[in-house]
Amino acid sequence: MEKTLDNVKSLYMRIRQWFKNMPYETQKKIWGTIFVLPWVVGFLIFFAYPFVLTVYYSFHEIELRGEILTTFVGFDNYINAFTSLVLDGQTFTQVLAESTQNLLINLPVVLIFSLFIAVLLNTAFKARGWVRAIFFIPVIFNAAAIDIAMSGQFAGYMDAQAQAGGFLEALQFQDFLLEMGLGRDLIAFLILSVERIFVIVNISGVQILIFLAALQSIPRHLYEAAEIEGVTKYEAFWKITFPMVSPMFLMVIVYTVVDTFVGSPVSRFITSISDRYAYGMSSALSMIFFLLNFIILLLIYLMIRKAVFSYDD
Amino acid sequence: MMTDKTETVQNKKAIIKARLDSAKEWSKDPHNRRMAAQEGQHVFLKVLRFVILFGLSFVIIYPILQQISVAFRAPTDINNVSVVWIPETFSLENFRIAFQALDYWNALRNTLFISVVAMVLQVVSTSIVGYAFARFTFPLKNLLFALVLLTIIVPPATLAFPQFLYFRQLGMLGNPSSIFLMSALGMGIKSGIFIFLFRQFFKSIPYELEEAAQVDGAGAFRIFYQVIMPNAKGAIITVALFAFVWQWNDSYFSGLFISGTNVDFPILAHRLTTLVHGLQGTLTSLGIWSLIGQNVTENPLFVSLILNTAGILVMAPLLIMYLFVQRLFVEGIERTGITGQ
Repeated sequence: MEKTLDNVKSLYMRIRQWFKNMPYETQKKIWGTIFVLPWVVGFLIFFAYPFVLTVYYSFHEIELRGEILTTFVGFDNYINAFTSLVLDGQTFTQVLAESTQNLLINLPVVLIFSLFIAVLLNTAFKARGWVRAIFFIPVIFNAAAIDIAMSGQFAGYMDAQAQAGGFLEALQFQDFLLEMGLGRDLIAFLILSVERIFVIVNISGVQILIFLAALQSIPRHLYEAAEIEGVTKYEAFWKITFPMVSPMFLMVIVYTVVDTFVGSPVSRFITSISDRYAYGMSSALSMIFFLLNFIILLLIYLMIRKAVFSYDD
Repeated sequence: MMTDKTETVQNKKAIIKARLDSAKEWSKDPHNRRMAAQEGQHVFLKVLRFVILFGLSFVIIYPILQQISVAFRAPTDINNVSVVWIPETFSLENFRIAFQALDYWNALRNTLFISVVAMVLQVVSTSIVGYAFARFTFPLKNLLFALVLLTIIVPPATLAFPQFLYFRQLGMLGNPSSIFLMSALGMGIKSGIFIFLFRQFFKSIPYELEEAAQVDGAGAFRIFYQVIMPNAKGAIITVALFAFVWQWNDSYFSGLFISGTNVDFPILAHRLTTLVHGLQGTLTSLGIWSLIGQNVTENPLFVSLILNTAGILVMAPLLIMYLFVQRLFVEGIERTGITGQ
């Protein structure tokens, strides 16, 4: 017994010695592989295979009769999705276009808004803990279940009672802007933004927290050095804060795009199709949905790639 | 007398003029000018910050206060127009019904258990992978990172059906092990985002820290948990918070893998979703429906009122928890030992 233990021990020591004698670069490669391995296993089991299966299903008619029966239908599911699929009087194309438009309007607003709020929440003021807690509420609210439960009929009833004047105010605001001589498109954008402030606040919770964490990881000595050099706060923001949080822009954009789509009518469309056990069709819809996400993110990435600061440079 | 008066007036004028002159003199000094401008800017920013933050806080908190006030309203008072904020008859009736409908204490215990374990597993697995992407080179690194991004972009519900078939084959349905396994392998809810976050934060930690540890003979694992992790507190707290909240709120996967097949394992979010789709059925089977007068249950607003209260009950623990946790978001994480950068 003792002998085997000794053997194991000496084997371990020899492996260790062998490892230590390797060039440092090779050691690092081996460590990297070890660190990433659990994820690769998880990816292959829980992502790659299901994903390939979904792609496969999207070209088939699926029937569930104890086991899964598939009949190859080519691109029929995809073609039908754009031509004949209707839910609640809206075609899939309409829902898709509407959601994309909403996203493209919301995205820049959310981005600027959440960074701005994160900067404000990162400064010192009284009752900061409470204010931060309040801005965390939207993160909790983001859940579909809570959202549905809380925005039921009763909420609608209360709103109708309380906010009969809301629309009127929006109109006056529009007149005011017209008199200021702003362009019609700009006004439309502003009006939309104002009406959306509630929506924006509620979809920016996660983004604000991501930016907040990024802000707090900026080394303070950068600001101290800047202060000694006589830099104003405005300059410090653009020269230090902005570049240091810019890598998170990509993250926030990705999150916003994905999250907006997951919570959009497109998602509900897909769920209701798969509730009808039309798995072939719902797989095809999921693929269209994914490709749209991918294209939008790719375009945005190509646009902002130059502006983002990277530690690799 | 007259001359006296004019003299005093002239005196005063002279004094004012002298003061004005000195003020002009003072303001000619660029240093003073800047100080004054900064002071003004400072006050302006403070007021602006107050208006924006408290205004937006109001926007967020108003509907919630409204709903909390509604939750305390007696079911018989639903349509009472005279009640605006303070209920006419205070009543915990809604809470009592919602407690029972949610199977609250059991569901709370299960949800807490799942969320805590999944959170720990997610933080451990995603931080390790994030570190690998931030600091090591290994074969196919760029391709693998592109695949991480792919896992973020693909809607999770797309893959749920094949995953469900897996767990059915393995006999892991009906208990949380399925969710734990996925979290441990970096495939839990939104794990891709966590990996990305960790990678970004680890990249911002100076290399010098690791080099120093290396010179002292520390191995890669030791460097990771003794040098890197303590320096990534902000990232850890952020990820832990998101992992916990998202697991707590997840009704899709927990419903599909656990509660959907095992009725004895209630989970809050899934329970709430079930209520949304069939409150009356749940209440009838619990024997509550017949206890409340028919004139109340016939009111469509009653269902909404109970759902409202149940929603508050599901999110209340998260809010209370956050009040304690947010103190950990300390101002500026100190990077000790690194100078001269």
